[in-house]
Amino acid sequence: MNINKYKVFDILRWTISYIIIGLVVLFAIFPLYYIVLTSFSKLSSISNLTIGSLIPSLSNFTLSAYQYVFNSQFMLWLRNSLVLAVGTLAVAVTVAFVSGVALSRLNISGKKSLIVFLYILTFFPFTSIVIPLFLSFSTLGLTNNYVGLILIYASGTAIFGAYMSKIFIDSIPKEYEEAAMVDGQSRFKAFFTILFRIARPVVIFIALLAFIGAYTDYAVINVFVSKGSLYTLMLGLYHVSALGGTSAVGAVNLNVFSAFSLLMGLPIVAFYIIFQKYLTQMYTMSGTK
Amino acid sequence: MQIEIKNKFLRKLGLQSINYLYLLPIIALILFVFLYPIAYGIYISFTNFSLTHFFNATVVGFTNYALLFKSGLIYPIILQTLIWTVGSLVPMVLLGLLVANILNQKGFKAKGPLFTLILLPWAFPAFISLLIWADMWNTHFGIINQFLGLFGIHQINWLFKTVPAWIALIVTNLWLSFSYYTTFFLSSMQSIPEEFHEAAKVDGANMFQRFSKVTWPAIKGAIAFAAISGFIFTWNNFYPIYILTGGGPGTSTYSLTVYAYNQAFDFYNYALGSAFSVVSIIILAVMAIVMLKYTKVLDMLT
Repeated sequence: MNINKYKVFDILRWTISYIIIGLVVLFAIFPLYYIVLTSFSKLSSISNLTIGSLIPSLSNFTLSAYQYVFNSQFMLWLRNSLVLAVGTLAVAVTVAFVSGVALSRLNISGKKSLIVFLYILTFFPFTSIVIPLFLSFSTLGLTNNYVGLILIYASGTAIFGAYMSKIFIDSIPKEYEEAAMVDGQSRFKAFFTILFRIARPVVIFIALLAFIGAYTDYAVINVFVSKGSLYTLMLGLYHVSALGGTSAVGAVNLNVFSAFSLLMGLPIVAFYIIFQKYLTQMYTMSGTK
Repeated sequence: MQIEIKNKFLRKLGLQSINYLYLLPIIALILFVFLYPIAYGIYISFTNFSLTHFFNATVVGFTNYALLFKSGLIYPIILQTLIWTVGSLVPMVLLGLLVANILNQKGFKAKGPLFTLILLPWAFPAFISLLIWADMWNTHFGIINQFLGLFGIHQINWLFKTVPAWIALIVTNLWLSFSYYTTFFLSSMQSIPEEFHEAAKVDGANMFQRFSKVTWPAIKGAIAFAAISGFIFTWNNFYPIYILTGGGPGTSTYSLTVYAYNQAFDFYNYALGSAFSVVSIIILAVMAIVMLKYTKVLDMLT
């Protein structure tokens, strides 16, 4: 009798669990399903969209949107985006790791205050610095210039990254680099060969954040770059899809917008899935230390 | 003797300064990209800097702040920023907790693939997702209204009416962020040893008792941390409002951050924009410090 009651309860529990997860998964994938379908369709405008467009059909299938994207300056924008993203990654990882080592391992007075200060700096929205940065960069002639942009992007990630590296390096026993130092390596070399290797999860984490931050930025580059030859994929997406302003206009060239979005977004999704283990580990570490 | 002490002191001083060299790059970046601009921004908020006074701005004292508070515009915008932040955060954390709890049940099948699908909204670039959502909320042609039409619901003017606009903003923001909270909570739950649940089961605890007695105490800290960082992030999160409603209809969905950006880069009112930013940061900092003190999250950091 009692066993039966448990069985009924168990079936009920699993049914409800799978129904909820099913609905959540539908919610999660629907917008992406929608752009995958429209990217292979002839829907050039949102006004041609019907509920039937959500059912894949071969008669509507076309690659014309992808052709359109590749006939635009997609490759130039991709190159520009990669230059910015890789530049940001290099600066952010270097600065964050070096600072993390110092905050974790070195004897520095005022270290604690510095860590709290770094944490508080992450409160400042970029909008609060983008106005003065724009004004000072335009007097210095640093607008329409990638160096300025890389410094801006890298600083945000580097601050958060320094703090994450510190937490991670704290968890690595000192014996590792001490052994290397006994073997005659200098302290500097021991830090950057031994620790860098062991701290790979946090390094990948910072690299990913830096790359994605630069690759998907719109608000900063929109202010700092006006020259077409310096456009990134993000600005290109706007250009090609003929998105007018930003407020709720909807895409004008719907299928082109969808194709462009997928080409631009899927590599990032792939990174997330490949490095999911490290991301989860780092985010958990930041909160449950 | 004297010399020896002096040498020791100098050596220590030398070592200390070498240690500081490691921090030089980050300090330089902070000075150049954060502290100087922040100081400059505060200064601008006390001037009449705008497109018409681009080259001959003068210090005008508290004029901008007086304008801000006297016109009364700032009060609804502060309230809206709170609606935006709390209204987004509560459903995100709750949905994240629910999904994480379900996935964490022992014996849940196909957890890996389902979890990967749930991860997608977080993994896809948020800015592009927002453009897609803007499209889906479209009044006449948007897929959401077409879907609701199947159930006989008449076209809803999602982005151009205050209440529907808030619903659209919060649902979109929920989509963008619930994966992150799910991941975060799931991994803190997985750090609880299975034996704890087993022991509670043997003692006759039901599902809800197990949650409140085993899971909750173990993830309390993680939730506090996620909620506070989420509060700061959402308060400053500018894209959803900027892209979906642009602060409209009228000024009814502006947050402080979006209003500051709009004032500066759409209306070229740099001084007023800066004043808004300063007010936003002061309010946020006060609230964040109170929350951090109260939950003792700051103790974990150092």
